[in-house]
Amino acid sequence: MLTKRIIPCLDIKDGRTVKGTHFVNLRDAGDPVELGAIYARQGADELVFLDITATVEGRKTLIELVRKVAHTVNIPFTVGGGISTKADVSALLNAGADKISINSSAVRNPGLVDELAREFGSQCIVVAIDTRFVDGEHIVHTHGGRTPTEFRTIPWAKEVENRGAGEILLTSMDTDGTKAGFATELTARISGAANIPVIASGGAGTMDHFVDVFTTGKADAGLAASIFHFKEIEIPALKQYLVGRGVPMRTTA
Amino acid sequence: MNIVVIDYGMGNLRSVHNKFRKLGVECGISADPAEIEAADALILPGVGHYGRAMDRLRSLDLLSLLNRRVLEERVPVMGVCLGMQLLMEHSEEGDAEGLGWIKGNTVRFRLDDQPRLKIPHIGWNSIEQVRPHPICEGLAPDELFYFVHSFHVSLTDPADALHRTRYGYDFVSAVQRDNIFGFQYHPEKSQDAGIQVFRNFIHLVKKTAYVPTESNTLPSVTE
Repeated sequence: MLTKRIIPCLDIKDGRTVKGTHFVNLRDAGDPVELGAIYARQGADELVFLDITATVEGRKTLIELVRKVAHTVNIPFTVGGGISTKADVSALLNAGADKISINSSAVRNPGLVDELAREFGSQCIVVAIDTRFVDGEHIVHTHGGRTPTEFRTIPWAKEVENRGAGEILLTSMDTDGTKAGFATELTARISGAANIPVIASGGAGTMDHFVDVFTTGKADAGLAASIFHFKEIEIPALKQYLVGRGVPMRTTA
Repeated sequence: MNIVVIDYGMGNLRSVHNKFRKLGVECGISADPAEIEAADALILPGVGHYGRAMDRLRSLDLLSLLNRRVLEERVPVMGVCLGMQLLMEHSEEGDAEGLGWIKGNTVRFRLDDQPRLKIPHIGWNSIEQVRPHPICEGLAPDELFYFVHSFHVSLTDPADALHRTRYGYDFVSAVQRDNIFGFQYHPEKSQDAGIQVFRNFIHLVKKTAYVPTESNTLPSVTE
């Protein structure tokens, strides 16, 4: 049976994790490779590395980092942040990334989704959608949720599917950082509208939030950052809890 | 022993290569006919478009060499994901002809009447072992592996199936015929279970490399 996925997300700047972590047994808490390997050992089903580096030198560091992650970590991982050309994608996949995620660049140029899917295959193209509820409508945002776009969220999700996206990473800017739960209702609507897997992100604070997003929210995967980094929730315990609530999980790791 | 990962420009070759190197075998990534000629085993990895993959193999002029090495000299070969699908005669993806080493086709998932199942099939899913084989030594009967694909194989001879997986319906998730192995999932991304498959493969290759066999099938790991 296909299991639901738990995905820790690591923010990267200049090859280092940005937010501090509470992993006391880490030799270097800022080393994304070591942190990724620990999550893999704990049973994370995939990893997402989100690069927030702005400089050209920093991008080169990212490629080197991806190479190291691919060498060390034996679960799939996605790399996102600042990707806007076929050459960017090619460099990351060749360095060992399994999937890449695009966000603002897809909004600016929706044809990029078609182009990347044709060139590399849908299975490695994740479209990240940042959404916020504005005046009674779910609106796609860019720049970390600060800039509204002309796209409504559900039609945009359908559109990226039709253009060849293999997966949607849906982040609710309304719930992100609140620890009050995922945007379950919107996730369910996107998951019902699009015929590709949906990764829900933003708002995880308790184990029950994951139960909600997988059952009511019909998400295929749940992504979180700080609750894992600060050990508020540990992945093995979370997975056991979900299994106990009838959510299919991989618990063999 | 020398394993060659065939470099035909289809996606992530490095992960497969890394895993074999970590297991202590000589492993290269190459499209050089001389290296393919000298290999004790071949790996066909790959993700992406079927028709394009076959075009690349053709334009690299590798088809007749591969046919001879695999079908006549019976060098062990492992296809992973798209690489497994290429073992078939034909694919719906791009209406393309495959290597034809195993009889059957590659078809798209048909989940039209099951709208809650998504395509691609992405994530960790369990296998069911259809028959015992040394390549499966040490795996749990319902072992979980990582999948990411929109197409799957449909075999002419069901006896070629090694593993089955359920996604909407049962599909063949691993094949084996003689020296030819195929895995729809990604062993290189499936933690310990995947490493176990690679380890078993190395063991089988060692047996065939050092003890040439007349028989069509590879010797058992346990014999």
